[in-house]
Formats: sequence, C-alpha cells, structure tokens
Amino acid sequence: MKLKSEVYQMLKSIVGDENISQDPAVLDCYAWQFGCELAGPEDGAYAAKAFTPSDYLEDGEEDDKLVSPRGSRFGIRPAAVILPESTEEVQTIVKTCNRYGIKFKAHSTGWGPWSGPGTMGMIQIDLRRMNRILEINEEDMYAVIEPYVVWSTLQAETMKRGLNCVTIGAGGNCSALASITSFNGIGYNNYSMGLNERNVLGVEWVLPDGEILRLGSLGSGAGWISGDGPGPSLRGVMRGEYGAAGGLGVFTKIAAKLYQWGGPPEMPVENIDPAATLLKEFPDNCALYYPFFESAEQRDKALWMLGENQIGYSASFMGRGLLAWGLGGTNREASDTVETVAKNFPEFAFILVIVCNSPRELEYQKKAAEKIFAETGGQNFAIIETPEIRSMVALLLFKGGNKINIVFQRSGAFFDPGLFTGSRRTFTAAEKLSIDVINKYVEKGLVVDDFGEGSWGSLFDYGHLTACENETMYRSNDPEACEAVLELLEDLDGQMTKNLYRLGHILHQQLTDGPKGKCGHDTMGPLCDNYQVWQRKIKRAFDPNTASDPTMYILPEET
Amino acid sequence: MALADYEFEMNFCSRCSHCKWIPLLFIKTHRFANVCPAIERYNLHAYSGSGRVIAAHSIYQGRSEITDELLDIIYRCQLDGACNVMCHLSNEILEPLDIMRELRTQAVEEGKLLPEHTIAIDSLRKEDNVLGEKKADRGNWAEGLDVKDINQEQAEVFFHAGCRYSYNQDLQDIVKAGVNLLRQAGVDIGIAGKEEACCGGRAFDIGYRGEMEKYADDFISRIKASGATTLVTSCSDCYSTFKHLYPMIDKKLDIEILHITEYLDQLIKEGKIELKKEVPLRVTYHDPCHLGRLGEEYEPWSGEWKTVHGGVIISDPQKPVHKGLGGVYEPPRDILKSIPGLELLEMERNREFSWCCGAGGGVLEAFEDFAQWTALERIEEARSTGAQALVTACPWCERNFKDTLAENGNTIKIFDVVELVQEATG
Amino acid sequence: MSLKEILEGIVGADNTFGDPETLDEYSKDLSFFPARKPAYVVRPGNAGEVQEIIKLANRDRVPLIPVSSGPPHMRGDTVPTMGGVVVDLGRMNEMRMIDRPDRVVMVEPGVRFGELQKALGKEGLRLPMPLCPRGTKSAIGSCLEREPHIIPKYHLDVSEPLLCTQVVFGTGDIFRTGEAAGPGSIEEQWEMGRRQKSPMGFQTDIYRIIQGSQGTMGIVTWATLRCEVLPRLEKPFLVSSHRIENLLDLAYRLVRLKLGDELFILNNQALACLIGETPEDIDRIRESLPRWILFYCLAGYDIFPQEKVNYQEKDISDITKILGLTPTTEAVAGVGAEALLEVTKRPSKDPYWKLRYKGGCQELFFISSLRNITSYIDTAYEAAARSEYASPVATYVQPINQGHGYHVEFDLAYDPEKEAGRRHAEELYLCAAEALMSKGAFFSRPYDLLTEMIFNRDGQSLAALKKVKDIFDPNHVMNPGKLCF
Repeated sequence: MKLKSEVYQMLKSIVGDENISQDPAVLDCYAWQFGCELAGPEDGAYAAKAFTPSDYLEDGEEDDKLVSPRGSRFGIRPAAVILPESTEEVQTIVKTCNRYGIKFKAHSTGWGPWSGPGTMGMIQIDLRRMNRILEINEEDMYAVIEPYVVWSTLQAETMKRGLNCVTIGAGGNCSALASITSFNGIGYNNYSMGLNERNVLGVEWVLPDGEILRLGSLGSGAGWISGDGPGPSLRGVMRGEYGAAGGLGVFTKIAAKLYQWGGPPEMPVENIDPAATLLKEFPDNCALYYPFFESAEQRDKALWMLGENQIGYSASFMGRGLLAWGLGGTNREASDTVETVAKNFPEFAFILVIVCNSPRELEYQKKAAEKIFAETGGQNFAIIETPEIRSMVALLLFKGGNKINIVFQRSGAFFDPGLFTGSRRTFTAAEKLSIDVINKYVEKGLVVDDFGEGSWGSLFDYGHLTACENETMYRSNDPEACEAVLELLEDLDGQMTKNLYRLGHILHQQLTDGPKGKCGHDTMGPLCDNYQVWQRKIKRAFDPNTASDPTMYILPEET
Repeated sequence: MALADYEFEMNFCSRCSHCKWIPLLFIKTHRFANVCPAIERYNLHAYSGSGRVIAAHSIYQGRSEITDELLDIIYRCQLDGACNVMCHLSNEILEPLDIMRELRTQAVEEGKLLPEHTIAIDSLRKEDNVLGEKKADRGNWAEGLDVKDINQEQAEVFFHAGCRYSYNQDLQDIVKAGVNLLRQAGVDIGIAGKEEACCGGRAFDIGYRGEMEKYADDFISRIKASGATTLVTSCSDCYSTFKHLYPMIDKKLDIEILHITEYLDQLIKEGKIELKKEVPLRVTYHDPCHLGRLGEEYEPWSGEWKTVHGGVIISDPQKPVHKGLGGVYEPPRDILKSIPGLELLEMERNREFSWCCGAGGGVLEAFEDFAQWTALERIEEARSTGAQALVTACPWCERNFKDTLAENGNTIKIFDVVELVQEATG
Repeated sequence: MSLKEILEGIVGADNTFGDPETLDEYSKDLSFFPARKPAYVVRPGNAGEVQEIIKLANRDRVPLIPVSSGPPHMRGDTVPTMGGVVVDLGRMNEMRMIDRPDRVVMVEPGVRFGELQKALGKEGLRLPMPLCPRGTKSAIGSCLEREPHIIPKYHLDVSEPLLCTQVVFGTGDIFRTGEAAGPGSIEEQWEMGRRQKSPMGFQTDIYRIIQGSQGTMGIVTWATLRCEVLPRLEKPFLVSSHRIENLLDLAYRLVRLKLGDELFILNNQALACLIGETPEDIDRIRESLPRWILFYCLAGYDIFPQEKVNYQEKDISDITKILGLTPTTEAVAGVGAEALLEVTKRPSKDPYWKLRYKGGCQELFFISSLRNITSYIDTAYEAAARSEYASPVATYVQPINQGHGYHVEFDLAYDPEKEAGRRHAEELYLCAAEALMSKGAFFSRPYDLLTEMIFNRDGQSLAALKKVKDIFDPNHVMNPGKLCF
C-alpha cells in the first residue's frame, strides 16, 4: 500500500527530504523483524481486521508479492517511514495522520514483531533522531531522556554519578523510554530497582489524536518530579504490566528513575569477544554468589529470606539449558559441550549479586547471605569463582544484557513461552509445568533441546514478585519450527491459564489468536473480569480515529 | 559471487541494532557510543549494517529493486567494517560486509553507477590509479631517494607506496620518511616506482570486483619476480587489500605482509631504530579501519550449514568468524609509547571498534560532505581526550582529516606515526 | 418506591439513615469546603449491596459519596457537594486474608490502621503507615488517597502499599484490578497459591486511576496491601538543626543509601503536636525544641539484627560527621527517640494530633524536588508572616518514592469555633497555595478549595481525566463536584 502523493508531500514538509522515505527496500527495513517468521499469509486475518481503508491510501503495484511465507522475517511493509526530530514534529505527523485517516506506529530501537506495522498502509515513525539525555538529576535521582537513548549509554552516564538504572534483559541496545512507557521492563536488577512499570516520573506524551499530554508535575509546569496526578494517575492509562506497544500514541520524553549505585563509576573490560570478555577488576563493595540447593523448596526459601532481609542487589536465575547454551563461543563449541555443561550445573540455583555502599555494609550482607545459605542447605557453586565465569556473570548482572543475542546466534531466534509474573508460591509450580511442556516439543525435534530448562527470571522488589520466561530457541527460517513454536505458546500459556497461574504475555495471545482474526484480549478478557471492555473504551476515548496502531494494544471493535 | 551465495545467511539478522553501537560493555559515554557513521548521520535503518542486509534480501527476493534512492544509500557507507565486527560478536552466521559488497557488485552489474566512481574506475583502467593522475608520474615521490628498483633488482622487502602516497605531494614526506627509516635500519628495500599499480581494493569496494582481480594477478607475479620475502606498505587501505581482500577472491599473496608500523615496531624493539629525541606532545591514535579490523587476515570458508540439537545451526567445517581481533592495533601504540616525551591518550572508540575517518568505501570520491561529517565526528572525539594531535597510520585517513580541518578550522594537528618516529630519531 | 425505601431494600433499614443529626454529621468536615447535606447515609455490608446502590444511582441519577474512614474528615472529599447519598463503608471491615510468606493482607474499606497493625503484628508483619493517621482512618482510604508512608525504602512507588482491589465502577460493574482479575475466583486463586500481589493489569493499571480519584470512579470493596516483616530490633535516632537544609542533606543521603527504615523531618511545632497532649503542652514542647528535627530508625530483621543496626549506625555516623550533625538516641529537649518511635507505630490517640493545638487544622501539602523544599518553606512562612494567621505553622517533610520526591506539608491550626481564626487560616491556605503553585510546587492531590486552581494549571490532564471519567462513570454519579468532574 502506498500513500497518495499529497499526504507524502505533507509529511515531507514536516521533516524534510532526508528524513522520510517510501522506497520499497528502505521500507522493508522496517517490515523485517524477528518473530514475524512465525506468521504466514494464512495468518493475515488479524491484520486485515485492524485495517481501515482511507481515501489517501492506494494499492501498490506489487502488494501481492509482499506476502511472506512462514519462516520469513518480512512482516507488513509500512507505507512510509518518517523520522521526526522533536515533539512538535511528532505532533504534526500524528495530526496529519488523523486528518488523512492513516495509521501510524512509532518505534525507538525497534526490535521485535511488536515494533513494526501491524497492518497495511501504516506509517512507521522512527524516533531515532530523538536521542538526547536532557538531564541527569542526582538529587532526585532521575534522568530525562528521549526515545533513542539506550540502556547502555544511560547506564554509562549514570554510573559515573553513582547512580544506576534497570537495564533490561533484552539488552543495553534497547530504548529505555520504550521499555518504561510502552513495553515491559524485566531485568536482572528488578530485585532492588523494580519492574520498569514503576520506574517513571514525568512523561511527555503525544496522544493518538495529536494532543500533547504531560503526566504529573510536568503538566502543571512543575518539572519532572512526579508522574501522578493531579488526582487520578494517568500512568494507569499509559500502561499496565505491559505498555501499549505503540497503540496509544508516541512518548517523546520521560524522567526515568535512577537508583543508588555503590559500585565503581566505570567497569572497564577487556576483549570484545563475548566468550572472552573479562572485567578488568571485580569491583570493591560487591560480591557474587551462585548458591545451589537440594530442592526447589529450599531454593525458594533462601530467595525469600534474602528478600525479606533486603540482602542483595540482584537475585536472578537461569535454567541449566539456557546457561549451557550461553556458554561456549561458536555454535559448534556449544553444541559439543551443552549436555556435559548442563549436567554439571546444579538444578536448583540462583545468582545473587551484592552491591553495597560501604565495606561495613558489604561485610554484613555477605555474612547474612552466607547464613541464609547455611540455613537452607545452599552451597556455593564453585564455578562462580573462576575468573571467566565470575566476570561474565558479573557483567551480565551489573550492566545488563548483551548476552541475549546468544539465543539468536544459536538458531536464529527465540520466543518466550510461559512468560509470567508470579509470587512466591506460584513460581516453582509454573517452572515445573514449563519444563514438562517444553520438553514435549524438544522431543519432537522442533525446538532446540535445552532440556526444557531454558528459563531465566528475576525477583522484583526484594522478592515480592518474580517474573520468569523460557528462552525457547528455534530455527527461525524453518516453517515447521515456527509452527511448533506457536503451538507451544498456545499449549503452555493455555495450561498456565487452566491451572490458574497468572496469565502471561499478552503479546503471545495476539500471536496465537491473530491467525484466527481474533484479538488476544477477547480471549483472555472473559477470564479476567472482562478487562478488555475497559481497555477498549480507553482506546476509543483516546484514539477516536484509531490512528495509533491497535494491533499490539487492542482493536477498537470486539473480535 | 552473488547475493544468491548468501541466501541462507540473509535470513539471520534479528534487527538487534548492535551494528550501530560499539560493544555495549565498552560504552563510556552517550556521546561516543555509536560506531556506524552512516546510520549516525542519516538515521533511516537502511543505512545500518542490518538495514543493508535486509535491503539486499529484499532485492534478492524480488520485493524491491535498486532505485536511485537506494543506490545513494548503498554507497553512503565507508564499508569500514564496524557493523560486521559488532554483528559477529553475537552472530556467527550473518556476513553483513560481504553482503553489502555483493549489493554494490549487483548495482554495477545492473549498470547503476555513480558518476564519481565511474571517473575513478576510468582512471584506474587507464592510469592504474584511482586518483585521476598519470601513471608516468607515479614514481616521482621517490626522486632523490636512491632506492632499489624492484623491477630491475631483487630485494628482501618489496615496499608498496599506494596511490595516495604516490600522488598527494603534501603526504609524500611521510612515505619517504618511512622508506628512509627502514633503510637506515639496514633493511634491503625495493620499490616499483612508476611501475607500481593500484592494489585494486577501492575498485572492489565500490563494486568493480573484476578490476581488483586484475591487480591481484599483477601483484602475484611481481612479487614472485622480486624475490622478496616481505611486502611492506605504508598505506592501510593497501594493507587490508593484500591481507583481507585478496584471500577473499582466492588470490592470497605468498609473502609476509606487514604494515610499516608493524615493521618499525619490530625494528625499534630490536634496537635497530633508536628514539632519542623528545617529542613533547599529547596525542591520540586513530585506528585506521583497514589496518585494524579490516587488516585481519581473511580466512575463506566453504562448507555447509547443519542443524543439530533440534535447531542449532552449525557450520561444517567451522566457519571462521571475523571479529577484527587479528588486526594491527598494538604496534602503532607501542611505537608511540616508546617515543620520549609523548603522551598517548585513548579515544573511547578504538581498536576493533574505532570510528571510521570517513574516507573509505568510495565515500570520499562521491560524498565529500559525508566524508567530512564523519571526520569531524572523529576530530571532536580526538579533541575530547585533551590531545594536541591526532595520529594515524593511513594516508586516506590523513587526507580526509586534513582536508576537513582545512575547511572547518584547524583545531588539532594531524600526524602519521612515521612522522613522529622520524622526529624522535632526531 | 421512594429512594429511602429502595435503599432500605438494599442495605436494610438499620443501615439507612435520614435523621437530621446523621445528615448534619456527614454534611461537612473540617475543611473550608461549604457544607451540604446528603439526602441519606447508607452503610452497605458487602460488594453486592454496593453494586445495587450504584445501579440505583445510575438509574435515578443520584449522586453517591463514598466514605471509608470515620470522622473527623479534613479534606472536603467526603462532603456531598451536590447532595445525594453518602455510602459509608465502615461496616465492611473484614480482614479477609493475611499471608506471612507472601507479605500481604486483604482488607475491606472499614478496616482501620490500629486493628490492622495488631493483626499483622501477630503474623510478624507490619504495614508501612503514614505519620500517625487518625484512629478512624481507613487503611484502604489512606492508600486510595496516595498518602505517603514513613518508611521511604519501602515506598517503592507513590501507589504503595496498594496492590489489587475489587472496585465497583460508577457503571455498576464489579471489577478486580491487577492479577486479582483472574483467571479464577479469589478463592480459586488462593487455592493454587496466588495472593493478589501484582497490582498490574495487562496493558492498563486501573488501580492507579482509582487512586487519587476521591471516589469519583467507583467504590473499592476490598484491597490487598503490601506488607513487610516486623523488625526484630529497632534503634531510633533524632537529629536536630536550626536549618532544615542540613537535615535535608542527611535525609537525602540516608534514603539514597537505603539506610534506616522510618524517616521524616518535622519542625518543632509539628513534633510538639505529635507528642504533646494539650495546647499548653504543645507550646511548651515547641519552645524547648530546636527548629527542625529529623527522625530515623534503624532496624534489624531476622538475620543478624544487631549487626545490621550496627553497620548502619556506623555508616550514618561517617555521614553525619561530614555534615556536622549529631544524631542521638536520647531525648532532644525532652522528646525521646524511643517515645517518638512508639508514637509512629500506632494511629494517633484522640484528639488527632493535627487537631490538638486548636481543634481545627487545614493541611496544605504538595510534592517537591529536594532542591526546592527550602524555598517552598520560605514561601509558605513568608505568606504566613504577611497574613493575619497567628499560629506557628506545623511543617512535615517526608521523602517519598524511595527518594524520588518529597511530600511537604504545612498544617495550619485554627480554632473552628472562632470565625476570625478560621478566616485567617483559609486566607493563608489559599494565598500560600497560590504562591507555592506559581513557584512550581506540585499539588498532586487536589482537595476542596484548591481543586480548581490546581486543574487550571493542566488543561490537558483535565481533558484526559474527563475521558477516563466518562468511561468509568458515564452518568457522573460518583462524588460529583469533586476534582474536575
């Protein structure tokens, strides 16, 4: 689908020649996303439902050539891509879209099937040019950032000032603003710094109709200090456990919460090869433990004792399968050693990172941690003392993920069945269910054999909550593997629902219901007090023209 | 070679955008975290390594074709290899740089040519250089040097000046100094003078694959005839062509290949060159792409891809993964550190993830504005270290830095490593 | 049927009130908000009855004013601005679930802090609490108002400690927010180990919309609240200074470094009101106290409690030495640290501490960044000095949101029986509020007379809130005339 010339010219006049394109190959760079390989032409019903015709769209000559088979990463091609530089430009673009009945989808770093256009004839708003760190406020501990500031650079700047942020598991290459406003925000450091749902203060937001809403104190001309009020908090509209993934307009600035960082201002490393990257010096005031236990129950007991006593900076866990596949440089090396490595890793274990602000605090926390391990039968896994492993783990946990890419390297892609947020009692049961179900597909040879133990997860808020997902790897260009993954998503998430665990990833539901032309919320909603009714009303109220891509949020009509 | 040869690989970009950043764990500031000049300047994803792979895939699948707009994007890229290294740190399947070159070759084959490149290729075909100069003038730089003519007599070291040093008069003191330093250290050195020809690397980079093949063949026979055991060059572009590109087209030179900094470093460490005189200067060193990450020896691979363990993709035999680790990084630094009075400061983007000077890949020829923009970025980074001078080891880098400074204000000095060595020998 | 009959049919005659005394009681509060009598007061016993009342209100367009706490109310939010029916949730006072391992409690709106803390204490838990709430304050009511509690390190978000809720929207629909929504009934969820801990909805956080709404979106019929473990050991400290800047410096560091549990700053008047029992007592205590006092308490838990207290004490000592401050565990001008700690663990004795000085009190509070606190205090004090208001201004500063902001509060005591005193307090209230707002103080909780001033500053939020209101209460039956509705 193409934009009619007058619309394109109008958009061009907003951003200039250089910052807009409708060249097919250029647009394909936005159509392409991992995860799109899971869908084939037979799965287009949802996108078709989301599409609304416009007098300002016309068919492209070769639209029929653009439908990709399962196993191909080409998703839906946008009608144009546009790169604004300022909030004012974003606003003008959004208003233009509303005027001409064109839909838009914003992304920042844009990684994943939720980033690209969800239906035909959509404009991709690429926020790359909005990439400034506007302020780092050390007193009130926040950073004001634009969409294209990524976790790695934000962290580099804040660590220098003795502050840190939650660098999400997906990696330091991801947009901080997008995680906080529009997506999820699970990271290794949620334990002490919370899920990103709560890591925001003031927000500047271009609503789907083009009006600018400034949340909290910002709207009242009182700076960035608060994202709530006056009165009810509109953060409640902005997101829940997940954000709207592009379905509620465009977020242009936020104040992201920062937290005390007791470690060093920089953490120099050597050797760019990830298999050999070493921390030059393990920081003072920090400690690392890898305790393992006889049973899940003992492990859980230790975890929650740590949480109640507020011991630790990060408490996270990784399945043996994921660990084993994560070690080893090349795919061949990993393949040759994965079974042995996995067997040598303990089954019931977690990793505890301690970062303190003084030697006394460190001494206390270490002593307390060791006592808890002693009481729960936890033994420290010796491998954590080897410099390479210690370094790798420390870097992963202090500085956030750059290792996630290993799951892409091995087989081309991963997806995360069984992702859920739970609490103390539900986590272990859900973990066991995941292992059993995933192994069924492993046995069929359709997903990478991680022994069903491909999970990673993190405790939030000192153990009040926990999140977990399975990094199930699959061969991304194999249609059969893609189909198996969808089946697995439906199977495991379905069983979790049936067993009354917390429902998982709303976006999974979209992937499995989409081919049936259904919005995932219309499946899940009736199981959860019909929340979809309210969410749909919010969508209609704030996006009367359904200009902002509804596909990863909610379609305005019931399906 | 064609895009079809990468049909399998092109499936495996996950669009992680690592190709846009230096290795994440090495990031020190927001300001200097980016590694790709093209995406940094132009912002559309198509300008990144990932985008170029996707665009190539799109064209290969017949979803699009090379339009004027895309052609511009294809060539606004220095092929500096940073995206390739960053990708290879966590993706052993994809070959962004190879695919980007294939796309250029396809553009040329389709007759989609940039006029500026056509001029360079015409010059190459007629005069054996890409600079529009006369072949007859090529050896002029060596006048008065009294160096062996390797076309006439054999020598242990075959010294290759390269087009830029041969013809840019304001840079010739550098190449002359290099030759003199080697001779003073007792090295038996010969040059081809006006018989020297281009290495062909630039032609290869801009899509004229066949041209480089001709020059490679020429080199192979010259080297054989010379009896030399070592090929030394002062030009990083040529160095990369010899070590990285010739093996890629199965024309590996059967000779030890050294950049002059490698050789000087050896000689200094052996005591054959003494650095006695103080050079009180704060400098920072710019790793030329072609000496660093693209100076790594290329190991060709032909094998097959297999699936094991339910989906893991392995290469059989194991495909070498080029991460730039084998490039020349320490010898220039060791040289600088051994110069008395000199203080070496590091830029944030260095070694395998050095920021490009802006000149390579045909950009200097066709998009001077972009070449200068890229250079200005690097100059700003150099200045941020507090250095008084930016030192490098490649005439293309020097050319671009100097020209950029001339037009934008001379805010920092530019030196070649060789110049400082010469200064320090007194 | 008359309205009264219908109401009696829902809640029973014993729980339906139309007598003049009751109506008079609910027609006003201690705020300057003009009084207005409701038509009736009802006291439902369960969510079903609440739902029926709301459905009735929609049918017959009857304003409803939810009230969960007992009197004296002080913020105007429970005054029936447009008449209607007060829905007093005090009868719904069950503690439905306390879970020690999951550190959570489920309560109904009528549960007050005193009884809640007692019950939690038996399980080794506590609920971080605001500074001495009045005895009749509902725990849910406090959470819905986003009242900050006094343990900054546990104040993970301004919504804390509220987790999930069951709410009857203004449409009459019952809805459970967060993970409580499903799948399964609450009992089924408990059966398989869930405890309604995650407050987050999938892509909306309706609980955040309910908070701060002053009952204008719906009525909450239960909520889960995040609890923490009781300390094994506590060591409270007082630090005083004539300059609040010194104490703010210390507070900032303690909160940033997560040292200490309870932490807040009071001026001499506020502390005197908290400790003193009579106006004379308060005067005497105030005059003997230094101008500003910071209170913090070090706590040790199950694992090496003494050592935890010890290292914190030493680390803090390093900080206070640099700042030139001297924390003490003893008394400051007769006010003991231990005594103050005990005071903070319970709701206020009667009369409510803010009312002890003069019988009436108008609170003026807002959110500030660290650096602006001093200037806001100066602004308020200058306004007081210029006005005819004659009493000392009690001042309370509370780090919130783990140090991402500060609640700053001025309590303007006045004698409600004396018209002049009341008028002076009201004038100062409005004048100081305006001055503070113009300097960037953020009034996130708009009450009574300030509401219009507050919303006038943010037209876009106002427009957005109206959209939200039209979703959850399209007929505008829920507490009309409040906020911007």
